[in-house]
Amino acid sequence: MSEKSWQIDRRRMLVGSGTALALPLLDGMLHGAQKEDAESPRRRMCSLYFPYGVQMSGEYAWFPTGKGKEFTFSKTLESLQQHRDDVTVFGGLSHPNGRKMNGHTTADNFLTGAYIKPDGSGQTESLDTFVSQFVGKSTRYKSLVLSTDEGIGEVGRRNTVSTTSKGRTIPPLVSTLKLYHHLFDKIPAAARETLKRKKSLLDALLEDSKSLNGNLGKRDKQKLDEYMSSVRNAEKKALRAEAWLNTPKPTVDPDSLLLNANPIESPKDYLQTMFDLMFLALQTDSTRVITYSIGNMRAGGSMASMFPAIVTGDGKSNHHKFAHGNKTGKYDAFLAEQLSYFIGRLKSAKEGEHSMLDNTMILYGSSNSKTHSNRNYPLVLAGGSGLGIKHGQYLKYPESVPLSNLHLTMLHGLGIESDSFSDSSGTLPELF
Amino acid sequence: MISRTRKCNRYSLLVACCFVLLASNSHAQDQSSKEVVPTPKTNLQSAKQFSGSVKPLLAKYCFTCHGPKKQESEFRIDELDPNLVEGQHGGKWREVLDALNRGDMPPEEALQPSATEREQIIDWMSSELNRAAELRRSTGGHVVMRRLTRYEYNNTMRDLLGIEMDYASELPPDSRGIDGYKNNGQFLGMSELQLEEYYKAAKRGLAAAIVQGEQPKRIHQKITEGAKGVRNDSFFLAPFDKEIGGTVIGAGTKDQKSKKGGAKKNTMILLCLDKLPLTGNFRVRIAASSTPGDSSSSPPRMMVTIGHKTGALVEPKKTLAQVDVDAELGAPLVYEFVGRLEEFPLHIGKTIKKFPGLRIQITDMHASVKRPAGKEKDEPQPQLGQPELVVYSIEFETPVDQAWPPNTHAQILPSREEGISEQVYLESVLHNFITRAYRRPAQKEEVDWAIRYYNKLRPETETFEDAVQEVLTLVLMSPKFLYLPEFQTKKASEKKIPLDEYELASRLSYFLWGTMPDQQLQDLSQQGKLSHNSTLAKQTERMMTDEKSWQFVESFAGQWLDLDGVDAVAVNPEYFPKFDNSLKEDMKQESLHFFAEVLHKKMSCLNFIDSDFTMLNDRLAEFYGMDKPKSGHFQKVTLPPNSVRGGVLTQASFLLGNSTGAEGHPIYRAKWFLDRVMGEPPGDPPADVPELDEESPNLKDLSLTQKLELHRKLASCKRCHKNLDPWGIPFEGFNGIGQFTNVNLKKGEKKERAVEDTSTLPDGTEVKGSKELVAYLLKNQKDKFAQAFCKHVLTFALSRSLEWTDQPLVDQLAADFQANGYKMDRLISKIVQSDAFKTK
Repeated sequence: MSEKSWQIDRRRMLVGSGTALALPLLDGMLHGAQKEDAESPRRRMCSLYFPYGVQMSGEYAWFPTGKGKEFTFSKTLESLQQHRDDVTVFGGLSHPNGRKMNGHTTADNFLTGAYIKPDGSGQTESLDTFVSQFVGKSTRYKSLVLSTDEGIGEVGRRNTVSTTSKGRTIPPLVSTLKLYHHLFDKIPAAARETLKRKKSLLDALLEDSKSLNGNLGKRDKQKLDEYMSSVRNAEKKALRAEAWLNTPKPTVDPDSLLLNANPIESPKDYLQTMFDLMFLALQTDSTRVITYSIGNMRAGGSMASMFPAIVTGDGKSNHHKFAHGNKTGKYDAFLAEQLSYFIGRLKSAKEGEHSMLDNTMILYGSSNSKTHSNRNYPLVLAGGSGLGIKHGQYLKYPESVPLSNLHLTMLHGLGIESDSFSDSSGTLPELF
Repeated sequence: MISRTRKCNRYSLLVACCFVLLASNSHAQDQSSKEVVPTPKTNLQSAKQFSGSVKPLLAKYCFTCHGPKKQESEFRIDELDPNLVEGQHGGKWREVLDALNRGDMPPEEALQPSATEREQIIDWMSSELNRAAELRRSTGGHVVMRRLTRYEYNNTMRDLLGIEMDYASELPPDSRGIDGYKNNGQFLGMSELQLEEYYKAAKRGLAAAIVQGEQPKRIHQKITEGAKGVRNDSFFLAPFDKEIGGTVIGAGTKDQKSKKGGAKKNTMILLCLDKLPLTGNFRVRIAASSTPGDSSSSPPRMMVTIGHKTGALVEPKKTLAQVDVDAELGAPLVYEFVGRLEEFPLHIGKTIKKFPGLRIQITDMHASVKRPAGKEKDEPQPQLGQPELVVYSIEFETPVDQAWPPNTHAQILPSREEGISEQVYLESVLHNFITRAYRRPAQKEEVDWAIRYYNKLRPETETFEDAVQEVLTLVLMSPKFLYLPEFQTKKASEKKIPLDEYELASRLSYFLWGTMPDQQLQDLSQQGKLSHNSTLAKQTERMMTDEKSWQFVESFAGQWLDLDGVDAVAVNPEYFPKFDNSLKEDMKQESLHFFAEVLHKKMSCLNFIDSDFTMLNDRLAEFYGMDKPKSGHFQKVTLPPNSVRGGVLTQASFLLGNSTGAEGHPIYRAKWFLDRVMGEPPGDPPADVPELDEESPNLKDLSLTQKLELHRKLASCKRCHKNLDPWGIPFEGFNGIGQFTNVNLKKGEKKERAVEDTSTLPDGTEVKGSKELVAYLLKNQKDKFAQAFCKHVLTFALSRSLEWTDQPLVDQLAADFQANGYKMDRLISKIVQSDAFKTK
């Protein structure tokens, strides 16, 4: 494989910028030092979260019957039958800390396993953020954080399950159109100049904030800290963007996508467009880590909470109320179909000897089994057989096995040899 | 033919009332009256309660399995620290509480506590958990350095730059704080993505405010009939009706060929303009009228959008305006709209050949009938008797400015006098701008800081204006602009000190106007006069009569009444096939206009409980089954004596916002009522509460009241629901969308069920329906409402949660409020003059 233009020669950059002093080692260049073998797979991870769990009883009971290799998909998960050899369904897993928390607030720790206090403190780094430090090194975007609803939402009812290394919720990208521009818009000619200016602007802002610091009380200081760390993060992002300036973004024909799909009019078109874009982001290697929060635990003011009513054209008004009525079944099946669609897209794309799916692990699930019950989460892991994951199983665990063991197993599949993640007590050996 | 012009104003409310100066001696009631300050429960008290009554019960029922001898599930209760405030075992106690609430523990075979004993344990635990949470959140009565909310930022940018734009469209929405108000500093966060949006908004705003070069060539296009087909210029797409002399935008009666769904060919008109600047202000004038329709029907609602087409399916566009067209056929009105080109999606990618450049589309919203969900095959049916929209001409003009450079430019960069060096000029420019942006005089270090940045940049920028734009962008991203910092000068920050004059001006202005202080407030601050109570009283009055006070109505009333909740409910088309979602906006407007009427006409706030009037437009009147008014504008309507309406509790915004979209929901309604009207929000339901399975055969034939009764009998539900449900049942006469009806029709059922709206309130009073409930409230619960309302306004005014130390002030305000006819303007004035408002 020929050297890609985005693997910046550090020397060339030094000459170009006219200074040899204190240049930070940029992420884009770091990659050169640990360049992966062309043969080695692009290891990727996607996390898909939905709120309120699933219907647990009746015709649409979510969990399969049987166990191990001998299991039968429920009516809800029927659409996964076509991918049987690429998926595993889990029963009995949950976050021990989640079991101690209020039933309305467990969305936030789906990928962290943390015990989050009612005021929001206690949150830790999410799995995707942790993973992105490793597998996100060589891509334009470390990771993508997506959601159906704008903003970070409220404590306990966040719009995304992704958090920074300090446990702060990451604001998501929401509209399909915006995501498209983010991924595929041409880099403007003046981008270098703009970035340079932005960096000096951020420097000046830090200087300004420091001057404020001396005059503030304790709580005000916390607010200022939050501001300053936002400035620093913006700075890091600008550095990364700068490292990628010479690499043109991939081009994708906007007409091949339903970018105008309105989530309220057609959740199906909207979700599939979202999945199309996620697929394209992975295929063009714009990123290798994506987390999409399909819904959230905010009953009011959330677009996603209207999906079940629109999809099923039935009854109660929002997802929360649906869930309370134990009536999410048809919607659960609809979501599984969308998952199946996404799996199908990855499966049909070749990547060397494998398919893209073989190098991608998709974690799909919720952190309630039903409405506000914080145990026995409905979970599916799809893809990754090229990374050594064994599929085609329904694995049931006792409550003593924490969900973080699955998180840790995924880390190992991604080639990240951590000893633990969150409150994990080991891996799930059945997957290897 | 066209002689009349209607300008569409930003403010739908015209404040024409004249306020009489308050003669009240505002400082007479000083705060030295000897109030007994209520103190919260202390750790000592709760420890006593624990060891006295709770621990013995735990020992009796729990320790056997979760104590020193046995630790079932590795859980030990006897060692848990009963101090939930300082101890480390809050999470474990929560687990215990949840197990008790669910009824999981003690297990069936074990010795069971009596209902009272169970309640005793649960009460202690939940009150301690709440106390611990409250103390953790406490800010010691200080306002945290808070970021401007989304709407405050938008208003501030608009007033600072003098350019009306949507600056906040890309900012993430703010979450409602714990009390339901978005301006609570504790809950207003920041992130790098958000900074990124501030950066873009500042750039956009400044690029519009500061102009460069020659005045751009004015573009003026007007198209009328016969313009069809002119490429790269302009054309009508919809067919011209010779008989009428205009173009009719109807319900698709004339061209049914298009099968693609959505809008039919003749439901829109296009004006395409090629070769156009992408920035600058513009004006659109549309001459339109309405064909005559049935006397009962609403006029066409014209929606104007601007955008462009980049691909067969990709068509970014944005709504410029929506307006009811009620001009008679043959006597059209000219509807005029202004905007800025950079606000519309015109810059993304290329446009396709067939429809080049900017597209103006006109649609009649009433004509595009929405398909009910899930029924794709049914074509929308034109409604007979529905008046149609007739368009005679479209006019487009850019830029609109007469002066060059425009005033917005001169406000920032006044013309430079001769003999003044660039450095001196720049210093004064920055000093003025920073002073306005930071809402207080700029300090020398701040100007120096900006100049250093300028000097660094200037060599790289082409023009002086470029560099100024960059520097001002920097100022607009400083925390001193984005936040409202109130400096603590003393080390011991627990003691409250007075706000300085400028800080006070900001607090006042953001409270009542949601934006930066105007020149008059700034001048008073500079003279050191604003903090005098007499000045504050006068200023408060002036501000309440200013049209900017609509912002107070929109933000405070919108959040107090939780009007966002209306949008959160999806109305189920199977129950209400004719429901038009645009009615939701009218419902919210009714509540806002009602609130504004009470405020501006200085009526008693008891009108919120019950009133003999409401504010309606034609659509909502029709929805409520009333025959007036006939106009799309909201106006005061006196209710007939026997009307079921009156007060906020019978407004559709509350009734629909707390329904399932299919049926009314007494529990949601009760929760809202207790929280917003009585000031006693019920807690969240505990984890793992078992649900009533509505499908179960035992429940299926029960009425809702019977189901709720059953629900209340379950031990784990009873504790909360016995005080909750009775407040929601009286509203049962109102269906899921807020219409008064005697019957509830359930989906798939032909059987009608009689409404059961008789309820026994917690104090034993029996009421039937909302009328009796409000009568009861006005008789027995005025004190509670007064307390609650004062608390709500105070919370919003202080932009923080209230704490126990605020209770004396609340009592004082409520007493004054009740003694003086429940007038909101007086309450606001009292709040503004209170120590809590004037200190930090």
